[in-house]
Amino acid sequence: MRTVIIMLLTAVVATLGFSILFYIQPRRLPLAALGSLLTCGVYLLIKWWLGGEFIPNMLGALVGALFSEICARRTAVPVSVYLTPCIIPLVPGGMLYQTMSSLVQGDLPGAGSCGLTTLIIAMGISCGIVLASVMAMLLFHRGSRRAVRHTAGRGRTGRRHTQPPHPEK
Amino acid sequence: MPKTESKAAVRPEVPATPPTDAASAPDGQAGSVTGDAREILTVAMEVGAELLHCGADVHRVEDTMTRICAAYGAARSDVFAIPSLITAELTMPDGSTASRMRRVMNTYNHLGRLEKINALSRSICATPQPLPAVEESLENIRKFRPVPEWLCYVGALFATGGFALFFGGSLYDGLAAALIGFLLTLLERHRRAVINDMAHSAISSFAAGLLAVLCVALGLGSHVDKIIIGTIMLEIPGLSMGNALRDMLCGDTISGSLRLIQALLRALMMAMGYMAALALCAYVWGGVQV
Repeated sequence: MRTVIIMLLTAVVATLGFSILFYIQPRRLPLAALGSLLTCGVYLLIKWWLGGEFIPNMLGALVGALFSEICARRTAVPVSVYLTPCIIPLVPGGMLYQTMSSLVQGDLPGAGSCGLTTLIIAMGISCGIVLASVMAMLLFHRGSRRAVRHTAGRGRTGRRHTQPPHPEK
Repeated sequence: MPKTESKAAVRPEVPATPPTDAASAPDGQAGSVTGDAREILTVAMEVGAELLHCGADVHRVEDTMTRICAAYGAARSDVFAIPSLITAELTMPDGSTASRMRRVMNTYNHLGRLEKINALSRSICATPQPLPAVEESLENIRKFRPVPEWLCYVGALFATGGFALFFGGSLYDGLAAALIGFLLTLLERHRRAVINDMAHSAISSFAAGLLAVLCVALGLGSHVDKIIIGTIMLEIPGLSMGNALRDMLCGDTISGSLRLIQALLRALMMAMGYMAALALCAYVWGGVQV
């Protein structure tokens, strides 16, 4: 339990540090920290419950990305302003170190499996983010194409000059 | 949906500057919200290039530029972007066309500027502003600094120290990692332009590896691996690897694969740097466990 609390706390501290390095605006810091706490909490919970790497990372990233989609929509900023800090605790730094360290020691099979795990973690994170963005699209974006065209055409140009809706969307 | 209206209501805080610019300097075509195809595309391109420069993903760049062109009354616009290049063509209702291309040399993560540019593009799409005003507010955004420079070093201290503890290091390991993180940020902020990204990754990870071993040898911290993991997070391309895979899953296959290869190469360069440092220490001192 003590380790978990330490991990959550340090994850938030590290996220705050990284957010400053990414030049985030100070007033976005509280929500970014909350999001990273949420992501890390879900990751640790699922990891303790199910084990493995792919599913915990995916669900952690999913929750973090959904949180940042909601925050981004509320405050009208790009999603990546919240998303980037949120998924920082999941970034597979430890695994990458294991890979390198195995390489130095000449342990090729170990390096291979660690490298593969790193890729799996990265894959899990990005799957979670994509899932969240699709879910957010379905939840919030209903009819927003039309809203966008309304806003875009509101100038003196009128609506008939605006971009036709994207065929894929 | 009411959401867009509420956003439009939130907006006024940001576009507060451009209208006053337009009012105080009514030269050129102030008052008219549309220009000829070339001017419109120039502004859209400036906004797009600045977005890409601040680390926006390709999809957002294309989307923003298309919307800006539409807001100024383009009949059709085709925008294609990859992380280092934007090309766009635009057709006006009267049949005049313009096409432009922009090479974007280096990108970095600047979330504060990203947010400002996004706000600018939203305000443009809501009410098209005169083109010189847009250029002026872009110029202001380029000068925008959300936090003072010295705070970045504090950020690096927190980031590296926090991660050393996160991965199970002791308090002293965290202190050592924070110290090294500070030095690495110093190195990164004062690097020469001739040293490219890859070489810089290799050099700074070599330095970080040496410093980690040195710290443990001097008695600050006890686990070389935890200290190194903490400092690795500072320049690990894990974030861009995730973004690359996300780009590919979203359908931007070309930019995704470009970013993925770049991230893998950077990870390789970092690995080489750390390996060289650790191997050197093992050779000189002997018996330092890696």
